[in-house]
Amino acid sequence: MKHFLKNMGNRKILKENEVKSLLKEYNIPTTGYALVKNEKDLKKISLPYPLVMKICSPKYTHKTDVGGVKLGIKSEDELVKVYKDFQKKFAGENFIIETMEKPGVEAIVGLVHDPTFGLSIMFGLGGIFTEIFKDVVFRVLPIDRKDAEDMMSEIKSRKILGGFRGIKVSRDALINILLNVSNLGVDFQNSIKEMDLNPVFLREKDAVVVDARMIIK
Amino acid sequence: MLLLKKGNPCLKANRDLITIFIQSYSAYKLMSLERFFNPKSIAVIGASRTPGKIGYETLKNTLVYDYKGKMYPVNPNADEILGQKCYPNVKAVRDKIDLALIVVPAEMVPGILEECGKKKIKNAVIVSSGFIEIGEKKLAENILLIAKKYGIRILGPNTMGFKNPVDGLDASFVFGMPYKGSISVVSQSGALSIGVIYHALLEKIGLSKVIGMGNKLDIDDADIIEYLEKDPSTKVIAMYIQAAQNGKKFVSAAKKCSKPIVVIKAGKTKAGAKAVSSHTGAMAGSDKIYDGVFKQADIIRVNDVTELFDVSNALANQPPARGNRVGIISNGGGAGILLADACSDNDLEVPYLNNYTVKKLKKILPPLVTPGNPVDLVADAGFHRYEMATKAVLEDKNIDGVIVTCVHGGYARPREYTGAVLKMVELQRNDPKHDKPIISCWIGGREIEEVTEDLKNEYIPVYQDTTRAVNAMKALVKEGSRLGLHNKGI
Repeated sequence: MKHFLKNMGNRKILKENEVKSLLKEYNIPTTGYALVKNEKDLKKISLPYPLVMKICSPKYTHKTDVGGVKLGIKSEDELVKVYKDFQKKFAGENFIIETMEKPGVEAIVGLVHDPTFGLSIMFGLGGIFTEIFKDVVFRVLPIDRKDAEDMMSEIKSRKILGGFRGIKVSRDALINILLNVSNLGVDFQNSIKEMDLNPVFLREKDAVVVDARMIIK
Repeated sequence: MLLLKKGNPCLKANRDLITIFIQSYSAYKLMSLERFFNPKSIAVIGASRTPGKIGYETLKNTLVYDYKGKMYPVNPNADEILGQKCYPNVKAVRDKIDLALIVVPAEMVPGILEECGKKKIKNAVIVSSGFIEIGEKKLAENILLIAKKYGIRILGPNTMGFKNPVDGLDASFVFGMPYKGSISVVSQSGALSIGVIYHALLEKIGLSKVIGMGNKLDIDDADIIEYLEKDPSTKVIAMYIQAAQNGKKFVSAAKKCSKPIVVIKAGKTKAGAKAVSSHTGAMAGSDKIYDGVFKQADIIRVNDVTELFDVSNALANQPPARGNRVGIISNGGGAGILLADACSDNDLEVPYLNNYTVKKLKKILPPLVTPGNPVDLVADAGFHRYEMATKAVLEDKNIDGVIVTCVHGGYARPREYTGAVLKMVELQRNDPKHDKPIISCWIGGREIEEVTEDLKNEYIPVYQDTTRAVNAMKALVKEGSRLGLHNKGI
């Protein structure tokens, strides 16, 4: 992360592409993505359709609320159209193009600095109900495999992870994400204030981080 | 020293020498805590002639019980207090002093601590208040510097002190001595620890140490966990915590601890009104993180003093369960069903008994009664039926622990039932084949209370209601899991 920190200036929030490239370094699977700074960049994109375009700026915390997310872009023509539309709305900003992932059970994985115990990892089922049900659990870093398994069996909605009404989730893929997030957190425990991987799609054979943000101290 | 004996090959390297130094320093610190709570000689600095003053009460408390060590009251204005020769200062005491109980006003503490350092006193309880708790940070820092200079370990300041019932030592200013036992209570609140002592007295629960932590200026929760883990008279560490002093050190000490730790953590609803900018940040009240920490370190979290003792008493005086399958024995349907309900609410199973056990039970039950689990011994049960049923269920391969209950029905003979439990616990304690927990649940007012004294006198956990009994069993199941005993069989 040192290379990001160098160019941060007064910025406290990492851009989505920055967080995702960091996740990749720690073998945490994410969507495919490409940063576009101008229209020419659109030609270079080799990601498979359908695609997603998002505003990529620390200025916007809730991207959907400002119309900064466009899902299901099916062709290059449409991509150019959406790009032009975004340019009008968010002049001077960068955009990120991502692969549109097949949905799964939505989970949230996060890191937060606790004044007593230091950096802690959070896991819970995600989506819009996360903050209502508060069905999340924490562990202090570092965690081991048993901690990861305990976290999964501690949330109230644990049945969803165990195959409820035909919903299938790869427990191993989730455990790997939790362990790798722990490794990432340990390496940057003095820099990270908070991190959200939300949502993470938990699917039958794998899991993928769809959106990611990080705030540094 | 140990490393030298093992012939560590890397001794030459400086780094290893430093490691050894740190290890031996930690060992020294541990040793010094051993002496801290088992001193052979004590100076009460600030001993007073005036009854009711803390300096008087502290000295008196040290004298009341059967503590065998030497006492040195220190007060420059008195020749004798409570029949004890008084000294003007610690220097005037010829003998070695293991522990100083400091009860002088806060501003005098640095000077007194200097004198203690020069006298080579290594352990000090600073009872005096008036430090960090009222914003006197400088004074506290000054004290810590002096302590570091002379290698003095400090309990407090602003603490009630400690009690060591095993050695009959009351090193505190508040009156009251618990029975001897194997639960050590560590409390950040002095007043609560007094409440705890009287609660334990009433319940006839024996304690090993009661330690008031005060401001945790030097000795913190992690230090105490490390000390109590090595203390031979402690089996269970029961803690009341408002805030852990050094989070990472606490987690690591608790994880390493081989003995069970039970914690009340106060301050659950601390307003988390800070500005947060992520979902994770918004979710992370400090209590949620404490919850995670406790689970990570296999600490059992409880909600109040009653529960603290219910759980600690079971852990101290009954073996861990090797699984979560519970057998229930009762003399009436209701209590048995309530226990079964509480088990299922707490992820404990109440399985079918095996055929062999059913056959054994049929022999002792009236002809029309079908043995099940819960086993209903029916209203006219006596000593024999209770004894045989408890033994049969205890020996059942499908069962990891037994809850024996007695309700005060018209025909009931509670004293015969306690007799059966006494006999079964004796068997359990002496025969490894019967090494499964037995929890008693005796329901029904004062007469029943009196009967349960028989059990309490033998350190057998007995509870006055069903959820409390099940909670105790659940703790023994958790302890079995912590120790990796589940599904291992006897």
